[in-house]
Amino acid sequence: MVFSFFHNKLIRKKFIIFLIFIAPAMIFYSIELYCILDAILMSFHRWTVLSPPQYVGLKNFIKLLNDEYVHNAAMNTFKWMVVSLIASVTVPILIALLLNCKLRGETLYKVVFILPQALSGVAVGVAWTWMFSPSFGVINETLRALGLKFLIRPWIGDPSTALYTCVVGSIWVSTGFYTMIYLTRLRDIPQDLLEAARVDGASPWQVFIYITLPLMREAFAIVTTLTILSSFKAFDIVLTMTRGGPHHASEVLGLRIYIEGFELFRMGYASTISTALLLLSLVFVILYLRLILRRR
Amino acid sequence: MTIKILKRILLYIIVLLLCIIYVTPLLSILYASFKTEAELVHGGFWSIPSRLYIKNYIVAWNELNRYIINTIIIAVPSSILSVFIASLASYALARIEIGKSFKLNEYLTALFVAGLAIPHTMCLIPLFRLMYNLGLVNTYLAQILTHIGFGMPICVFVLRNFFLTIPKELEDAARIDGCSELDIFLRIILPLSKPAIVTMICFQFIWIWNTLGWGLVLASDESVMPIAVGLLKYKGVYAILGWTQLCAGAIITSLPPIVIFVLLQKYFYEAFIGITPTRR
Repeated sequence: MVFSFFHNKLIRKKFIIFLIFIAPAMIFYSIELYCILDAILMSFHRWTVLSPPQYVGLKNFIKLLNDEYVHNAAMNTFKWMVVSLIASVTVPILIALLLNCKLRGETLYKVVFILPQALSGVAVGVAWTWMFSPSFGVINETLRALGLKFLIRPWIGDPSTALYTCVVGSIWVSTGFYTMIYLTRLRDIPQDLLEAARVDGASPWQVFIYITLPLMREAFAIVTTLTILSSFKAFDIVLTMTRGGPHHASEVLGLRIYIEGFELFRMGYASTISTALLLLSLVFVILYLRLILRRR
Repeated sequence: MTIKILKRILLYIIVLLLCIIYVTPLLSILYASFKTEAELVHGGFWSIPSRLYIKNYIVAWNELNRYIINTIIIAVPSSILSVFIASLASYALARIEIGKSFKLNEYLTALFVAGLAIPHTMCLIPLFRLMYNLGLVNTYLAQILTHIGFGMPICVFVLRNFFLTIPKELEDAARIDGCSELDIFLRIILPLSKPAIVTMICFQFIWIWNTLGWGLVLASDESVMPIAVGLLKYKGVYAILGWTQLCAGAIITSLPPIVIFVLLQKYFYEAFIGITPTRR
């Protein structure tokens, strides 16, 4: 019986105390829960702020399936995900392996690689807009100095690169964080395991492939889940750097919701996109919960 | 032997280079913020400024200080309250175990932590609708309530993990002496976890300082606008004319979080890298 413990007076008292402790947090957290439920509810409505919401059934969802702007935004979110996934399983692990060589100045690089975590998405957006700035940006100036003039382009203004400038900004923020996750796990690997393999004549490459990598499985799982979830969350950096432009070239789903809702005032339809985004991320949310709560 | 030393030197050079490349975006806005607009236009990015030009900072400060004050008014109560409220819940989730076959504690923890993983952009419209119906749009209160509510997942997650590391014997001894759960929490757990709680308040403060979305939909009026929205607006206005000032503005708004972060980086590693949740 699930609730048989209610019969016991002591346990009932304990349960009441538990509720008193949980209640304030639950009340405030219900703002977020309410928002999620309300987004789902409103996705079946037409609401333009001025008039009260009106129930329209599945009309919004049918519209969603044929909306080329949403398809475009979903495609961009997918590209965002693929590029940042590739970046998150290559660059940070290489840096972590490098930092694992028992170097001095640990505090320095710990601070450096975690620094972008302290910045707001807007500040990151400003910094990278400046990096990619066509006339004075570091990237173009460096290319010019290196004599690679043919690579110079207006990065943010160019439809074929606009999305990727934002992805680079977001990768920049997460790289340091992921590096430190990998580094922590690298240090958890028992040294005698690696030693034993070396004694048996394994090359450094074989040790890495057959011992280090399999032991890092969990770190890779966490990093890839985080990366997928953060590609669904992409918003601040894009809004700051490109506002989805030029001509929708860098619009991602998060930004599309904002534009539909607060620029075109189709709030019901924007909620439909929100619901779709929730459905897309649900599997990864569950995966994420399993990964981070399993450890106890 | 010499080959080994050379190898070490090479490693150090690579690591230093990586560090420099990694902070380049920050350094580049810092560098530009000390130039005049004319120096930038004529000399390009790499030109060395003739002198430290701090007028950019004065202009940016005059433009941004009211947003900073707004953010402090919003972030101080939100961060303190959210951490305190979450610490109560975390204590219950970590210590008052309910149910044997049906693990209520674990399911509730999962429910709280799920709020971390859900894309928050999906809540922009419902949140606006909620506050609009309550008549709270363009008030500090709306933002404070929102920050407390949306801060619950991360605070509960971190504090619960922290409470789980406190040895149980202390509470058991107090319980035998006849302390109530609230007594145990206030007199034993809170004093023991003071450093963790203060650290958490600081991180919560930084995240609220950095949050864009809620301010974007709840504060269209300048009198309650937080700094992230203020900087975004500032970018919209100055991106064409005053890049050096915008860079100064970005540095000003990033400075408090960076200082807090560098001071507390040790705790960031303890609380986050091992168990890896994130707000982004």
